[in-house]
Amino acid sequence: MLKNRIFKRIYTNKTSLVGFILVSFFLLVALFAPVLAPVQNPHNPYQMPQKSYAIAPQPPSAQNWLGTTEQQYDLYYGVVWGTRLAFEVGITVTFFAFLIGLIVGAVAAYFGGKVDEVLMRLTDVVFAVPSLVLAMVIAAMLGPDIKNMMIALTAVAWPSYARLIRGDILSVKRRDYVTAARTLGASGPRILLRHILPNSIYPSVVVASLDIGYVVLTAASLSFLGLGAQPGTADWGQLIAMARNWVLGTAQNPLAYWYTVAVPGAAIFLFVLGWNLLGDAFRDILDPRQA
Amino acid sequence: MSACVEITHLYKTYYRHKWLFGKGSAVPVLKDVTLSLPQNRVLGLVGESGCGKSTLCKVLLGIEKPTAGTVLVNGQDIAGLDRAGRKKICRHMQVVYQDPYSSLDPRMTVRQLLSEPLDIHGLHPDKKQREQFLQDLLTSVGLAPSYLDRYPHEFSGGQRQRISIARALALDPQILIADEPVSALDVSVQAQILNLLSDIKKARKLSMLFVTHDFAVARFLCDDIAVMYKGRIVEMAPADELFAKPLHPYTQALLRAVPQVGRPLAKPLAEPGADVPNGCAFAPRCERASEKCRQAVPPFQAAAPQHFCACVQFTKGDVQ
Repeated sequence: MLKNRIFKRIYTNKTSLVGFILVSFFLLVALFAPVLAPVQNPHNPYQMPQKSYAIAPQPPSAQNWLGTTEQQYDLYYGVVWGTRLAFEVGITVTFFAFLIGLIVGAVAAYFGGKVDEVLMRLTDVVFAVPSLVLAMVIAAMLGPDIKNMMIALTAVAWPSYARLIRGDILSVKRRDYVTAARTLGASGPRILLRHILPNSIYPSVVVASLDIGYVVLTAASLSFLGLGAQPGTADWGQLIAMARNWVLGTAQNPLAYWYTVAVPGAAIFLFVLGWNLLGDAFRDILDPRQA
Repeated sequence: MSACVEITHLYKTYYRHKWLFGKGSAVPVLKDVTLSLPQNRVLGLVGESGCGKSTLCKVLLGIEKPTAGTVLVNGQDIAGLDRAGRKKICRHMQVVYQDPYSSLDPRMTVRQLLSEPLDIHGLHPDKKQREQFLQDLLTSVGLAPSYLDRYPHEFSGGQRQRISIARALALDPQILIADEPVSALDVSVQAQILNLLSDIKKARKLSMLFVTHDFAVARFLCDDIAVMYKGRIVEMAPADELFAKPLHPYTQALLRAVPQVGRPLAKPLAEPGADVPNGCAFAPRCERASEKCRQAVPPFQAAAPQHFCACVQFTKGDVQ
């Protein structure tokens, strides 16, 4: 029944169909990355192959389908494996942020009182600092590395889930059907797992699906600033960082190196757009009242 | 005739939330309620909004703890029961809620809703047997067995209330608490649900506490009626007697206020004034209130056999 609803909803709405196609496309690219772009360095598949050490990027050719960026890194390889990395970062960070937020929010709502007060003020503290700045500070403290970048992103992303889940649990907790379950003799854990969570978790799931795109965008920003992926890593933010000096071409041809920016930029743009469009559809799909 | 629920001198006081320190001001909701639900009878609890009817139900169901007084269910004190004990009480005492739109989990199918009580209490574990039980249960409340796989939002208010009733009956309880089960429904649907409750009561030999603010509804279903005002029971009598000879001025005013076709509306009751700290709570609205009413809370005593009233104008033996 849920399956029917998903497809019905996606087919009947053009924007969500576009989102679905975009995300599916990226998913296929990520899954078949080793086929699309055979691994050059078996120790680290995310290491982009380097044709030579020449500085200037080279336009698309038979050998480098999407051209090369600074220092002759292959853009095609970088974008394909960057897709895989984007999914890895987006899903891992969102998953852990969601999990931490769920636990903190549920504990705050369930126990209430002082526990609630302390946990919610903690989230306020995290909220008080602009998230990108905070992520930069944490990433810089831990050292530039993709894993550290993911930790930094998780650390700034969880409070919004905690707040959302807490609020939803508090409102669901007071509904009649929760009281009804109690008068049937249901145990606390049963009420929490069967009635409260299923009715309060979905708004956060929708936010999470929207967040995957946003997390990838923030990760790209950190990489661009040199706080994430290391040079040579197939990472979209990294590719844009390498294109920094080539945004403007020569005086005669200002767009000479357009591909260095456009290729990874388009990947990020379409990926984030896809998730945003799909997130909207999720909201309708996950509500049984909107069949 | 033994009582299956016995409430004695029950008090429930809420405290207003106070910022940071100490208890806020006290709001007494139930004051000295003594009530018993005889076996295999329907006791109607009538009163206006906010008089404490629903709080009484909550205390009975163990959702709220009484401030003072005792509640006995089948002779067992429900205060200080452990989880297992409370769970056992649940099997004997079930509830139908007022709002059929909020009392059913929107994410569960009818099958899941009806199976839940069985799962909790480990009844009918055999799959085939359970399926039969669920179908019979649904049929017994007047719904088709094919509805089992639908969601609550696919049903009308009356049908949802039937599902709620089926859910309450799944555990085969002896006592059913109905907290305004028809007040959220259309009048035409109310009659159907009342008939269903009446049939079920007869078929299952249920004892029922029926909470309502509607005398017409109470008259249809109840054997006895208790009238509540501001947290106190002010009058209690067998239904026929209460309708024939209402004693308490509040009961009389309520009965006058029931609209009837072809009769002009009764003069509405005065707005409730300031609380009377030591006297009859109804005194500010009472046409017959005297100074005496404001000095002491009138005792709740028998004015006739089976007929109790808390009004200074009636003392023992006043009514023949």
